[in-house]
Amino acid sequence: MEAEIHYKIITEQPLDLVSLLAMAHHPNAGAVVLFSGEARNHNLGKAVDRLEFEAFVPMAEQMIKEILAEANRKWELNFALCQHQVGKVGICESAVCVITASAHRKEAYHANQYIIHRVKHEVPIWKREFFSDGSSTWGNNCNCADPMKHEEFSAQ
Amino acid sequence: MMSTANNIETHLRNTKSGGMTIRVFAILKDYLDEEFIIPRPIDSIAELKKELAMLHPEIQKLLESCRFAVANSFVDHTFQFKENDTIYIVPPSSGG
Repeated sequence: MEAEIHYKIITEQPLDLVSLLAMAHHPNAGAVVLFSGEARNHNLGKAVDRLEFEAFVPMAEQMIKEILAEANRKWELNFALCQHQVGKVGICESAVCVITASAHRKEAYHANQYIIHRVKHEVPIWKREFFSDGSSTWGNNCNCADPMKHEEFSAQ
Repeated sequence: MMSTANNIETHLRNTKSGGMTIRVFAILKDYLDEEFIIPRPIDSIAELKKELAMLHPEIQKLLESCRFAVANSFVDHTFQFKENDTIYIVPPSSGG
């Protein structure tokens, strides 16, 4: 299923989780799963002030579309969405949202994990953490481009 | 670090035609300009990595973990760059 997308996949605006969730309701869906990846106030034993995200936007948007389409195909979802913010993300704010809807919860949960896993590890988006001590670091390097590394998230 | 990088970019900008445009992201911007020109044709990823590592040894290991893209598509080590291609160097992802 190649669903039409009526939202910005990569946005500079804070994510509006309520509005995104409102898009997910579907008469055939008995389960809707929403994952929000949020900025926490600590990492590497240090206090975190904020995160900043950068993306290679055209490739990131195209890859997320393909990942959503693949999840739709694997789990026959009624709805799948992924939106990622770029720029500054404050503590407790959402950097990325994945929503999946399906007839039963198992498919919605599995598909949701599959989508966020691939987005985090494959899509050209980068996180920079800014610590309270004034230092900063780019997110942990991870380059799981090998699809075999995603077997645990494949269709059951 | 930045002064060395700036010297390299100045060197690379000396000639703009007939070369390759390089666009980098995220951590690579700590070492290189976001966009710069290599003023001669580069044929392959291996040649590009060798060129950049020679100019900037501290990114040699990082380059080994990067992906490369042309025209919004990732390309592998067998891809032959064309003159005037814009090459995107994509560090390991860390979104989410």
